[in-house]
Amino acid sequence: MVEREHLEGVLDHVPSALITLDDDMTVLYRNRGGETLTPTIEPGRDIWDCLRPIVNEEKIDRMLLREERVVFAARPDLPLLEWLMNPERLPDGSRILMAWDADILDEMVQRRITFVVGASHELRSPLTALLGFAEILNLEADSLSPPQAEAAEVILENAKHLASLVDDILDLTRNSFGELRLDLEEVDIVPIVCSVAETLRPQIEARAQTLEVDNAPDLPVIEADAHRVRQVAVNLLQNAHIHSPEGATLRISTALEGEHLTMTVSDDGGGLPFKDPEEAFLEFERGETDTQKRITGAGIGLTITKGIVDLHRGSIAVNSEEGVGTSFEVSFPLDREKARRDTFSGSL
Amino acid sequence: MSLVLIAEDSASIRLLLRRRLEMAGYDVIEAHNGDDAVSAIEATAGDAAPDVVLLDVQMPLASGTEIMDRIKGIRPDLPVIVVSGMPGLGTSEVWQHADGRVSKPIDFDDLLGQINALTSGLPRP
Repeated sequence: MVEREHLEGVLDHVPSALITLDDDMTVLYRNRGGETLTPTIEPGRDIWDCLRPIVNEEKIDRMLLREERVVFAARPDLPLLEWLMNPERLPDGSRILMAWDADILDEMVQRRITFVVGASHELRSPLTALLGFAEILNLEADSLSPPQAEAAEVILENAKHLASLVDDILDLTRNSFGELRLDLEEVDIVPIVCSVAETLRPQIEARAQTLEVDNAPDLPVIEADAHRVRQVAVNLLQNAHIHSPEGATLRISTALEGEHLTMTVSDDGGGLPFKDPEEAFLEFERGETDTQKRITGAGIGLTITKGIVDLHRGSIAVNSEEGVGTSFEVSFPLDREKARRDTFSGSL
Repeated sequence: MSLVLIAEDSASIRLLLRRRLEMAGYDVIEAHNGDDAVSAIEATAGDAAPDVVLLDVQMPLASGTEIMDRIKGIRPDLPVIVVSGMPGLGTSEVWQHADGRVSKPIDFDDLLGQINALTSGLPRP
């Protein structure tokens, strides 16, 4: 008992908020720092219910489910806090959530976001003109000489590439600061997969690659952001196309697997240029052979893809074998709410 | 053919929009900022009046929301398609209330489809 009193005295003198949570995400304990810094998180209440009115769900997911550092204030009139969920469990199975003053950090984060958002906006106007006139030249290619038409096509291709890079850098920045948000609705994934396949088919077949599309019948809808699901399909298929040699077979398929809907993109190409396939998800990470073969790409598409899948409370797995091929399997939960609870109380 | 008013501060993008719209058979008038766009709507009537406005929501002098309110105050029936370099950021109100929306870089198949949908059925030949 003396020990307990001593311990609580120590905890109350820690200048940070310390909160413990049980398996059901109910708040068990809050130290004195927590009473001051996080008064909205009250013992006995569901942590999710305490947080939802003050911060977006994507950020709560990052903090509680993925154990990433995030920054927000527990109430608009209170100081900004940096939050971190301790991955270790206490002997009784409960978890510790910590929050401390983060004013300086937040200012830096805000500056970087403001810079990237501003830069991306400034780049978009000249890009619009560049891309738009390149399209006009290509529409009027009949009136150009063959070398001019070829030049117009190269300008168009590169302008498109530049535009997608600007989008990717903005997404990547938003994602790394927990500012990438989902616009959730009921989504039928099959038409998205078909549309992506048909959009990319011409460039795939232009390299003598074969594209197979295989959708399981009667798939249920999922709660998702249709635009982002499309982005995932485009990134994975584009990635398979770029990294596979001429004549390769690419495949995109969907299936129902237990409580998840899966989308798999595979190829029989050379395999990923990494010793550990997981490296492919790291920012700006490109394999050695990519650089040797001068394969274009900034190495951010897969990082964004993983970020989007994480926001959907799904998972992405990669299998790659040299000479056999690569397969990326994305798994979306049919029930996002259940996925949240399972992830929290799950496998640690 | 329908008449489109382009309100855009970038000369390159005004020229681009004019070229693509004229290629699709539309007539075009231009405004360099929001105030000019409002003046053009006030000053025109009948055949000279625009059937649809393409409004860049990030122009100097006045906010996109303010310009759209003023346009709708003069001609509530006049459809406004907003063009934005940064949808969802700072422009959300005008973005939500617009009759159509496109983001930069512009997908012209999408834009021409929206203009066509908003102007079809108009008495103008």
